[in-house]
Amino acid sequence: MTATAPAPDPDAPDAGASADLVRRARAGDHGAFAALYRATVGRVYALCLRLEGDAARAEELTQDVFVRAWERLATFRGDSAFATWLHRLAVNVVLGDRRAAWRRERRVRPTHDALVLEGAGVAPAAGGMLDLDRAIAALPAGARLVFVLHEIEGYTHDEIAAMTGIAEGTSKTQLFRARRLLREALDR
Amino acid sequence: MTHDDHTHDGPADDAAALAPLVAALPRSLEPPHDLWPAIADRLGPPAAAATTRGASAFLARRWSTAAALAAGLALAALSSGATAWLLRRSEGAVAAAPAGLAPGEAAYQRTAAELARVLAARRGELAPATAATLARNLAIIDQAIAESRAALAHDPGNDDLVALLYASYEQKVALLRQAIDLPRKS
Repeated sequence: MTATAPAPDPDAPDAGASADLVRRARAGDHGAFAALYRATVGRVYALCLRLEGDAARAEELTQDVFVRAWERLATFRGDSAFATWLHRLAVNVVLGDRRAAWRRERRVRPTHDALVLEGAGVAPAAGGMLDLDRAIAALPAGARLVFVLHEIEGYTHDEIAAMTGIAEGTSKTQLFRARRLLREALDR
Repeated sequence: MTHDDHTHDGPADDAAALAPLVAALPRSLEPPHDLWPAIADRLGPPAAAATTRGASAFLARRWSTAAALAAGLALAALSSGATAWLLRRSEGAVAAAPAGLAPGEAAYQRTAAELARVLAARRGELAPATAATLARNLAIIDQAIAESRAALAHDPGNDDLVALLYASYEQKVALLRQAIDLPRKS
């Protein structure tokens, strides 16, 4: 699967500085890892918030992402930018959390497609969110996942299918549904 | 961003209407609270990297079993001088993993290298066809390991890839172990 690079973050440290921080963090330097955190937490939190639609859960997942990144720093070989590596790690952490939730959910009621949990949608998160972000947060989980990964993060349907375990056609259907629900929400 | 679907007017209208709004979304949002103190509290020593949770921890336990078996067989096959050498090497195996490798992965590599050395000393004892087959199989496993490592470099949080990587190492260790146990000229 091809990892899609996130858009450049103007606040991210340049490649040389980032490589130095990564090298120091791998050696156990918490200060260097804190600097990497400061430079990248906005992107990670935004991703978690949009995928989850819940600010408190997004904060928990953001913490999980950075703890996992610390644990996995030894596997970062520098083939891609640290921000790209971290972004993909964050997607995997959120999807892993979704799978765990799906397994819990499946014990209660069967579903036909992994990760397509059709709840009533979460309540829009409060505080400083744009209208579109609020509408995204209110989408059903499956539609929100596909919309964020495809429309905001730039993953293709086949990449989403491979990452999430849903069929490519399901991904397209969820995107169609998400767009329609968002337009309806924004036109109200 | 990709727009590879929907040619009907309705869905196309939806996509067109949302595109500028999506483009205007900030890609970075600061969390309402400083998360660093809670994160810092959860950071272990760097030596804990890559074998700490979930599948990685499970695989690390599997590595311990496989390595113990492999080391035991290797020791049985070695002369007393070489045994002492291997023991020294094994004691050194607790050192930090080389850069870019998970600690468990480095341990697998060391065990495979040690078994390969034992096998190399027996090279003349294997039938040529057996040796050739063994070499081909090892090359296939090495290719699988290389592909898993490359995939992990692009997809670092993927526990399935970690599992594949370690399964390939286990295959390599098992194959080397089996080859060492083969009777002469088999």
